[in-house]
Amino acid sequence: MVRTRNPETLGRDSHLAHDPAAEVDSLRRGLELLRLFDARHRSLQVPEIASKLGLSRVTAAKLVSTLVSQNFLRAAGQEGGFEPHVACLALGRAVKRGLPVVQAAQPRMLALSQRFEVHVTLSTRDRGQMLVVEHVVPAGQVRLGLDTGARLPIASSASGRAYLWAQPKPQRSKWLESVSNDDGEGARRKSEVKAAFQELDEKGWCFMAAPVTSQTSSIATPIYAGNQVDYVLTAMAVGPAVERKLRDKVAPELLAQARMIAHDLGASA
Amino acid sequence: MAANPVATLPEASERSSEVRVLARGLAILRAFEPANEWRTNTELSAVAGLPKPTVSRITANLTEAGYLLYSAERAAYRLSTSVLALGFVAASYRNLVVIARPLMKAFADEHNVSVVLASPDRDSMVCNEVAHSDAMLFTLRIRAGSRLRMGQSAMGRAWIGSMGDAERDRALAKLAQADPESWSVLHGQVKSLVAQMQRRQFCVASGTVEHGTNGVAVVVDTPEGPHSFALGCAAPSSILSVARIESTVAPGLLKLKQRLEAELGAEAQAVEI
Repeated sequence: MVRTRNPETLGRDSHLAHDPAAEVDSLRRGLELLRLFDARHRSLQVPEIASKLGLSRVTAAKLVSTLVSQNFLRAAGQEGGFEPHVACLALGRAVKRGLPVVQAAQPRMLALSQRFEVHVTLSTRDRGQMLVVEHVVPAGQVRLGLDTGARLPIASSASGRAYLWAQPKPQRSKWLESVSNDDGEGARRKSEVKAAFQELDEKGWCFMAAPVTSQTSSIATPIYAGNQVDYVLTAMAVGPAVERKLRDKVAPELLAQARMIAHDLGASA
Repeated sequence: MAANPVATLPEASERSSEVRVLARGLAILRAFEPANEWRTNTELSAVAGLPKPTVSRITANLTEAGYLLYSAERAAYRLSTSVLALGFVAASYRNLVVIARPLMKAFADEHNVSVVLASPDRDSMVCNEVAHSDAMLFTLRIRAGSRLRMGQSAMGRAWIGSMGDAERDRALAKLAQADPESWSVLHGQVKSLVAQMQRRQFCVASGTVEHGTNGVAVVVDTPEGPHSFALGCAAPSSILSVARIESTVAPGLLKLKQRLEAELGAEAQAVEI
């Protein structure tokens, strides 16, 4: 049996400074520091890091220098910035190599992407976001910032909604509560999430327009491993009139592929 | 397996204990490379070179933070997907062209040649970046965006020659349809291209791009996949003889390929700081 994260932590603010229960030590802080980097923040300076993590500059600089000495960060550019380095890649690749779901999903994602010219994403939950584990881009199209390690908002992405829908009722309700509380947009988003849940009840997938940038639409479906859902399979099409294609042509195939991936996983377990 | 990261740490006395905790935690995470197999505390202690009680504390901490999964059946740990949130996307977003540009220019000047970085696109090689030597009076009519036919460029040949059998058969079948002329040129030479790439990792082409020019190419592996790019150089045969290619230019090009691959993190362990 694999111990998964405590459901209590579901939906908790990712910022450790707001989480007095967590043991805040330099290891956790060092890893929080690495989490600050993403496709939009490829390079950060020590003062920015210190203020984002609520640390003194001296502490932030010490953590940065340790991460540099271990090849997790390196100096970038002329302005004293730092960027993630090869150890982050090596570690991430180890995760992917060791994941049966990636091995099972990859060829099916590729086939789906080529057949319908759609982006195909495999994602899982990481704290309050959906984390892209694998992403396939149709030949000749640009990545749109989606790649392994990218993170999407859970309540306003098709992937996140399909994930939440597939969770046990108490956790699902808890998430819905946190959605309606988090900002002024909450009420509207809550009703969107509920509509997505209804669509998932009826069809097994949910549709969402422009989840990442404008001109993109996605459909997502959970991948069942027994009764549990850890991963979601999503297809995204780019262009002004792609809704019909996604709903009518891609959706049945997406469902079929998600079932096949689940089947392959069951067979290899 | 990565070299023991702990061995590279400065003396403990020079560092505060806080920093040591982080370094040790990172060493434990890296002990799961390269394939993230289940590992017990005892195994981790051996791989990371740390006392077992220290390892147990760290694995408990990392599990609590969601970076490790624990299997009670195996009494062992492995990395969780959350590790992918640790800088992976930013680190993988290294643009090969940006990294390659200054290195290609230096290479062009050193060897007095034109250097081209290209990637396969359907039936041709598309030039992503071109660098000419300052000393060259004559340059090839190639710039970024130019397309070279597969059969007529050393880069296309290196790319075809570096593929596995099944992949090559598919690529050649497509080429036969899209560009019969290129295919007919390549068709009879495939065996020798494969042998050349296997034996020397580079491919020489004489007079194929433009009459009177010689070229040589290697392929560049990226984290996205093997032979994603080809790197080639060419010059008039009067200044770039096959003998000069084999003695100095090709070995230099292979070094440039290795440097680029290391920069991209394709072989993360090869990079030392």
